[in-house]
Amino acid sequence: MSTVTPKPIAGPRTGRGGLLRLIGGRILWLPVLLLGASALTFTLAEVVPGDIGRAVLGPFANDEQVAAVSKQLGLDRPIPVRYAEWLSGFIRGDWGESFVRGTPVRPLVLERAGASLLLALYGVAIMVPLALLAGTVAALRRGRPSDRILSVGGLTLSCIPEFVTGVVLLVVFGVVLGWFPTTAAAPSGSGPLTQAHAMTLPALSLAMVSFGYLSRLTRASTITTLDAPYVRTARLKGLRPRAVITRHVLPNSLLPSVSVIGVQLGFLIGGLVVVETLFTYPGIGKLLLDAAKAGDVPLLEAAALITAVAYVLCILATDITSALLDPRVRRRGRT
Amino acid sequence: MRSESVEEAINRREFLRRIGVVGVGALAGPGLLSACARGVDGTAEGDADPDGGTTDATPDATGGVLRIGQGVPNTSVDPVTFFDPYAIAVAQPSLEYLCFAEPDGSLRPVLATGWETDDDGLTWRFAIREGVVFHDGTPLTAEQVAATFLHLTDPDVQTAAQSAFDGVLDHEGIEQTGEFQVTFTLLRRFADFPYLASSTNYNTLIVPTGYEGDFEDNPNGTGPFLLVDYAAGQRASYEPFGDYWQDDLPLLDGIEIRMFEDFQAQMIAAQGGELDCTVDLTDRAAGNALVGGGGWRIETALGSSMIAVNLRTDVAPFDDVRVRQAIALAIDREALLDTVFQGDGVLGNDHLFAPVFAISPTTEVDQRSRDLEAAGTLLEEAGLGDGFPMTITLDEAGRELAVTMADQLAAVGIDVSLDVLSSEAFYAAGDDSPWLNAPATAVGWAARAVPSQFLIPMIRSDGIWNSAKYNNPDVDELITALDETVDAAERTTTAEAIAETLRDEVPVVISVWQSSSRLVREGVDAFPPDPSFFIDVTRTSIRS
Repeated sequence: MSTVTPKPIAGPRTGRGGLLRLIGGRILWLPVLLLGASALTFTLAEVVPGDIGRAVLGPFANDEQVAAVSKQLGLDRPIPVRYAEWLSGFIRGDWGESFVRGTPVRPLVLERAGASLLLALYGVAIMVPLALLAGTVAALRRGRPSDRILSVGGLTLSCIPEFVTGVVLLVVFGVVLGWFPTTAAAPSGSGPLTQAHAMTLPALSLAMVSFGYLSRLTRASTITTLDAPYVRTARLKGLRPRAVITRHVLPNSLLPSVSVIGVQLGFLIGGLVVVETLFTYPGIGKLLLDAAKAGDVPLLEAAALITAVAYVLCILATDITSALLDPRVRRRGRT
Repeated sequence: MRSESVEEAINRREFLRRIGVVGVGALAGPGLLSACARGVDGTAEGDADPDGGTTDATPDATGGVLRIGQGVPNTSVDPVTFFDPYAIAVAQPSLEYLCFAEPDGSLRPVLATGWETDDDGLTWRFAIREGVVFHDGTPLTAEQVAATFLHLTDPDVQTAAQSAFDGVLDHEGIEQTGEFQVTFTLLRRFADFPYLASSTNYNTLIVPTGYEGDFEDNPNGTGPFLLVDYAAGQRASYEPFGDYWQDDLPLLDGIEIRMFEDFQAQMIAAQGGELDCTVDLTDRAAGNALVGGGGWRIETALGSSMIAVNLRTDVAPFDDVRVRQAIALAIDREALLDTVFQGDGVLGNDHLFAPVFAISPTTEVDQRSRDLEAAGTLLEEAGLGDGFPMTITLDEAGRELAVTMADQLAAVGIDVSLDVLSSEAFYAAGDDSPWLNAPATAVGWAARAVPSQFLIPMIRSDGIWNSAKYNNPDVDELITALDETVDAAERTTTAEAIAETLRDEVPVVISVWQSSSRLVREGVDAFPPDPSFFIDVTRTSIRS
């Protein structure tokens, strides 16, 4: 009688390998994405109408002086040459000087980016727990008045521009009640609590904008999860409702929200122009707008690229988080 | 200033227009001649005293930190090169001028105790105040003053001051003639030269010898406050200077300038009690609302800024003076003042002597008002009784005025269309720049110190900004004569002659002279308004 050695059953691909593949793939694409963003930004900044030499010297210089400065800045050279020079300088840490301010670009951009990141994180920290809670409660109380209130309320908040909510918050809590300052930039040297206090109104304004979208997404995914066969199985097994929700529903229903949170964070870092303007907050969105309006090309290019970097890193962090939470992603090696 | 939305912060071109294409702010006023041709004292009768103080009563309160709201500077804060009013405001608590133009137009001696000329305005000697020190302890002498003006007149330096000095003072004409005396030898007689050495020429802030353009990092001046912290685009903080040359001044414990990109945010901050005053008032209606709520007041200074509608006198149909006069008669100046400028200003009379100028012939020349019948008659005589089409070329800053004027001119059959360009396109360099060549243009002019700074570039035959291509040799002679005598009566007579001619010939339609307003909280004293939005906090105090 012959014996056949059974082939070993191929087990599932290891989660760690899939995760590494995922991260590695994303990191490999990162330079390509940033290169494309930098090239696009540089080209657009260079072809925008306006005389950069005039922007540097102001209105009182004559045409010869303007031409001399333009030549000095290398503005008469081809765009690809200037781009290569700018990019190599950027990589080495030399981001140039602001045309308008005459100060180095790098510390200014990094400081403002940090400020925007802080505000965005604060806004997300307020928004995420509230939105997840609201969406989950709305789903669990599907069809009931509380569901209607949360859904309609969230949708309404999403429809209202942050400029409007910001003004309302300012007037009510800043002017009438006096609970918060109307400007978000705390005096220099202030402690973290003072800074957080000053940033609360703009953070709330941001939270209101994203709250509706995230809560509705959470509600939808929770409803889908509640109707899933394994949840029914869990119930039929006799698990308590709380255990069903915490052990089976939430881990699955919240996964889609992770992606949204990451994308929202990336958007918030660079897209806070209106809130930064209204609350006089020194962020990078405002810096971008000012640089674009003033024709301050080095500042514009650096701020735009840093915003792109922040956005890409947020997406990467989102992907990694999704992979860590969802074993299916790890196995596939992709989201 | 017009109102703004969040998305439309004042851009560089707008600041350019407000502070002046030639770059000199403020005004001359009743004290003009009294500041000229005196002894070393150089004081005007009855107002400023040589010690630099005023005759204001001593305030009852001292202390407190004044919180000033303003917009965000579009340039760096460098007194030599800036031209942005908000950048200028940041420097003014720390730096000082030789003399300061008060809201009434008089010149108050500051770092100069007086000035004199004994050759009808060709040579000016300024006496420099003794006992003044910079914030770093360096004594002020004529050396720093001369160095400042030498730097400003250096052809390699880009500064708005050179536009003001053009044709009047050059690098060779500045000399330190004593430890506390500087002599300016002009290129031509110029009776108003003290104004060019005053705050009205805003770059003439006195800086230490060897100043390298690093004011933001190393602020050093003679002013009552030290700039101790500056965050570009956000705030500037000041402390009182203990060795300030004026005894018992300043009265405040400190100043904080808070910068707002959005005017609405600034108003909300004021409403929330986070500001004590503002540098300007972009939206008069918002200011009125705040005043209506109590606790605030609006302070206004007459100014000399305006929007000039230029009519090319060498191009049909504007080459016919009757057509130009008809246009001037067809507009409703009162309505323009109320609707376009929200009542902030005084009526213009189609000449370039703002009422705030000392030599302005405000009563001798009849104020023109709307007369549709007369306008129609003039057009009939000119063969345009059925009206005619015209295009006004302008940038966004003049749109509201032009739209309103277009409606008014329709009443006499003039069909006005607007060619609105971006500021860059409107003021583009080159021989065919629209603002200097289009048949009809609306051009914004910021305040000027003296009438000559309108007359010479705008009206004189060889004026570099003579958009109307006006060519009248008699007026040219009068303009020259205006500058070359310091005799008050003679100047007034000459001004009247120029004004009458311009009013009759209407190369330029001036409907309104704009005023400048700012918000001040009740309880804040001696924070006067300024035509160019400059700030002088030397004697400011807070009662509550």
